Amino acid sequence: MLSGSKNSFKIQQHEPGPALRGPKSSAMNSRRNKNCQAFPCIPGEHVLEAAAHVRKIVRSRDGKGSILGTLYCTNLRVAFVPEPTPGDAVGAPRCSTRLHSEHDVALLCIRRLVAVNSFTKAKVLTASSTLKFIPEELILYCRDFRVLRFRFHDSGLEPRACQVTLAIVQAQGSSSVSAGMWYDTGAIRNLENAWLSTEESSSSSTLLFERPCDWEKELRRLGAAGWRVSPVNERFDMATSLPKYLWVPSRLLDNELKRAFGHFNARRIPRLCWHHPGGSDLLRAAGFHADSDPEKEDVRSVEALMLAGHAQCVIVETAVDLPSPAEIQLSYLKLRALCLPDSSVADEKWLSALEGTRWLEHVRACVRKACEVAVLLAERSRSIMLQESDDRDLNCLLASLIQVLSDPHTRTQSGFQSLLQKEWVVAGHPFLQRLNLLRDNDREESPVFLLFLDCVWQLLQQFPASFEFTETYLLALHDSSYIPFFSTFLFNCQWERDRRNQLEAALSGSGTMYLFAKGALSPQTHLFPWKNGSLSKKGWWRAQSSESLSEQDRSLRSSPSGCPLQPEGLLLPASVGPLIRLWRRCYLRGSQEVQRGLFASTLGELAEELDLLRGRLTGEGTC
Amino acid sequence: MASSSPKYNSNSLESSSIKRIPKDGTKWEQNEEIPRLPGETSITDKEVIYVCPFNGAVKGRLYVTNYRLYLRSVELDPVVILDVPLGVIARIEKMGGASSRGENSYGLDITCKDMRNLRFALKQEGHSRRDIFEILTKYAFPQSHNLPFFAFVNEEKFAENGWMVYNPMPEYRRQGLPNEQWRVTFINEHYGLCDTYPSLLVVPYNATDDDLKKVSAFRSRNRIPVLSWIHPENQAVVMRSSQPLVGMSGKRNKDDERYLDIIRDANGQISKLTIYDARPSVNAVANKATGGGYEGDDAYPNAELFFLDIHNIHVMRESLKKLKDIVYPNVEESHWLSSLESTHWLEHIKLVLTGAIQVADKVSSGKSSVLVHCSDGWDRTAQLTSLAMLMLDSYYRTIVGFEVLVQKEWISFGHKFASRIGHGDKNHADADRSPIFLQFIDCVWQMSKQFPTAFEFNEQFLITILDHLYSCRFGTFLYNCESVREKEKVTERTLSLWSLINSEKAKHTNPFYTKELNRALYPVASMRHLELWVNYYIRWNPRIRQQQPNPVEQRYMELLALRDDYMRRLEELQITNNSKISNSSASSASPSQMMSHVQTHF
Repeated sequence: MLSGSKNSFKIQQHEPGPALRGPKSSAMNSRRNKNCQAFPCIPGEHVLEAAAHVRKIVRSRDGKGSILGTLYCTNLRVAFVPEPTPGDAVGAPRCSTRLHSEHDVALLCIRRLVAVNSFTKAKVLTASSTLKFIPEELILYCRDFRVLRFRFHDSGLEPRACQVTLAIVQAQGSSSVSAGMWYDTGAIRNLENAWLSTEESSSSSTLLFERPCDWEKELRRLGAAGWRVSPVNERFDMATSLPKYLWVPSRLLDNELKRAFGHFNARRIPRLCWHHPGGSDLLRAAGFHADSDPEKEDVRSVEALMLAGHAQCVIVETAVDLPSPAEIQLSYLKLRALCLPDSSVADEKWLSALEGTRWLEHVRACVRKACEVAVLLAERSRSIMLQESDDRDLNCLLASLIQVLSDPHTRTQSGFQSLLQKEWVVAGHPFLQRLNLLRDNDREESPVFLLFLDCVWQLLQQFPASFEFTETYLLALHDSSYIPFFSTFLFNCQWERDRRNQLEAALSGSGTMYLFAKGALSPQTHLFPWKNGSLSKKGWWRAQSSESLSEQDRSLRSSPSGCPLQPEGLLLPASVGPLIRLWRRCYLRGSQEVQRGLFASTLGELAEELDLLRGRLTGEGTC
Repeated sequence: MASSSPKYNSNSLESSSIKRIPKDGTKWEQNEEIPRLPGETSITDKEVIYVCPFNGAVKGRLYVTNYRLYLRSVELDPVVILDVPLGVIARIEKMGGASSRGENSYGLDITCKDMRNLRFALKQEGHSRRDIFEILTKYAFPQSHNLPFFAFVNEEKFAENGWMVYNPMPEYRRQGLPNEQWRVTFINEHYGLCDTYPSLLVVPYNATDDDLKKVSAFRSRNRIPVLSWIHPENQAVVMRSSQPLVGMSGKRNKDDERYLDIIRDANGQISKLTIYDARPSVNAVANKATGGGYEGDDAYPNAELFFLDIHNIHVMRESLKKLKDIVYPNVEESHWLSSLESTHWLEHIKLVLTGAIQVADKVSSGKSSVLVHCSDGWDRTAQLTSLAMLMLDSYYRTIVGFEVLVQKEWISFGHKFASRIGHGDKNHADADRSPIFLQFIDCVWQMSKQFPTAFEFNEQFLITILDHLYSCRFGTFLYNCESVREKEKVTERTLSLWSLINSEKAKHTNPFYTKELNRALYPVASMRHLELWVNYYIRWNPRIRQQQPNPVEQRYMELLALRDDYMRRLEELQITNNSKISNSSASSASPSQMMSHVQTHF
């Protein structure tokens, strides 16, 4: 299903026609000169405005260059289609629609619009602003660190420049009215249906965790014998932000279980995330509710829940050592400012400026903490509970990162997608708030999920052979979080999603098709001060210092091959300074002066040559 | 005794040519597996404690030969092996005295040229330390003790002869030289014109040998402008030289002025000749005080001068020292990036690359001939010309091509390897030492990171070169210039490093290499895209673990092996078929023909 290269991915081209229902599109088509191909709309998309003879500014090594083409504004995106250059192969089949190419940007992904005219100052455009001058240049600052610049031709096409600019401003302004509106446009569902029809296999292997059978199936895979799937929250009446189904100890009846909810913030009780083949269990939960009274009788069910049949429960306070969502956001903003092509930071000061963003420090903290918990899980049979105040941010990050380290299945594509579903999307990471796609509340914005993807990229760098997917896949995931063409990242929890779906009764029983993984979650947990988890106050149980932990991982590592991979597949990444790197392909793509070929087609060519040789070999053999 | 395979080997110097010599007298009886090269003889061995900065103290036996220092731990689980060529040693110090207390405080502290230190603790009895100190000093610094380099006693045999790799005449012919504008001169055959230049030089056709002699009087150490590379299409050239001897009084030299104009004229160019002075302008001005300087506007109206702001050898040495401080033995943790920044190492790399890009771009896009020089024209100049050539000419991006490049721009043109590295010389504080060649290799590595398919060689190739830059096992990097090498009969009496590398090419081949002709590569010389070469500078730290091999790389190796197998079988079949049907149709291609056809898409 994901067949694109770099940061673009493709879906099957659909016949334009019924899908092109925009009021202007047919007129536009006839007006366009004939060597300009029809704009490849995706189903549900229609062109609002277009301007021909626009130059897209590209930075090259020799300074500034530009590409000539047509600028489109549709109900979903701003797109630029370059004119075919004479050197192009005639009729090169353009059989695919790019959802996201270097020339396109989804409306929701536009962070800031600036119009420039040589006589006036640059003006930031918002939906309420009026355009008092004819723009010569339109600059789009994107959330994915790109900056797109379009220059309008100065030969009597000014009205067109105005129109297309205004259309973009309007479309972008209204794009954020509500996620529901986006969902309702039908574009998403058309698109998802298109995916469904072309890609059946991927949906079947990725578990969405919306139905009990998915939970049952995964529990069987983990071999967690002492656990069962509880439908206690099926109607979201226990906790609205929790998934419908929960993994709880088998011996705990739903009636007893119900008494535990009140003891936790937002009623997010401890439940199983992952079961180690060696017997340990990884749990996650919100913080204890302020009104929770440990003397009350029903605290015993809380205790049973946390100990889960083990003699020892280690509580990992997720928030300790890890950045808060606010810190992540601050760091991310600094990183973005630094990585934009027009950053004012002197090149000589780049390294310290990068350090000053603290982004890599946050990545390191997450990797290190996940590593420490993974070692604890492997060490001996116990239960480990990740506890974060609201259990919706760093708990998502830490729980999933630990599983990526510990469970080889999560390093396959479908396993990873299932993981995102389980620990982020249905676990209730508030994607809508954290990604702030609607731009309605900046204070809640925090790219916790993107921090997680960065952590996974670090692992991929250190263990390239342990992952089924590539950097390109992670980039596509990263980008798709800002492309509202998939419903995965459009909701805060399963309950919201369900409500939306019920309103739209049109949906068939199989539900919507989600692209990669629908993830919504809340990350960040801190690991350090562990205390004895049982509420019976046996005193604090402190974890070893970092030093002794690294002793442990050294002993774990000393497999004969010197390979850091454990027999059961445990990855223990290094987190020393030089090995936590900047994800350049993600954050530095704004700097287009980079002239490089990252992927050789050499393997394919070698395969071709082998075919040829094989053919000759048979030829010679039979002659 | 059963041999156990080492689990921890702190030395990546590998050699498949190492012969496992069985027993050699009583000294070796405990360990049958001490690797030895043919010609390598044991000197002594001793019980020591290796104070490993990563794994703590390790009790072991230290063996010293005339080539290496080898330590094997007494404990077998894990076996700790240390295998260090003596050439790597920069300095040996005694630590602690007879009265020092404390565990492992008495012994030897060895500083290495390859970013590490070794510390051995000894027992405070007899003259045990004095003996081993003297032996190590003697064999690590043979030049200071009237002993030959190990390269002269090395008796290894290789399938390839690396001395055949570079021969100036075929290389200039490859470039299309001589031609109507450029001629080969033998004026320096006996190093009479310039004792640090090669004997064979390419100069403008319109300059006579007499002219060259006159020019040489006006160039520092007689290093006149000569051709390094010519663009195959636009005929613009890269020239190299030393600084003009302008001095405080602003001397002029008509012959030098006319000579540069002949160079400008050689490709029929109307625009000015571009001169790149690698130094910061302040330094260039300061050089006037010692008789040097740069080409002024008045004297050279047809030339345009740019300064490239690359600092001198002393600045580079201090920068690398700072880098070592933050990576060895412990990696600076809390402020890694700002610490790295404060070493300025990457910034120097950036300036060298930026300079080379300018040179390459001027020649390729600007179609203009350039002259590159610094003060003497053997450090920064070599970096700039060789990197520019690497960017411009894809031939130098092959394994053999790169060997030719090093052989030509560095070795034959007199980069002072002996002084910069201090081969076999105990004077560790010599101000002439500087990691200029290492910096060049780092720049090459940066380019290979940015263009992963453009180079035929891999990272291991570059690391092998750097390891043997110090090891003194090969004659390749010994001595300062061609004239001395000739006197010492290096090519007859020693082996070339390229013999080792070319005999096991597969190990040094980059599987992603895609042959591309005539594409100029311009790396991005920005701090945003430069990286510290962790696999070289921090390789001794076990926490910087070897990354998993790239799965695609592995698969590629398998496919290559499969191809070789097919080719072989095809050849066999064709031989049998040809003998069956003699005079078969002309269309049947021989395997070698097909090879070249098929390989066009590489």
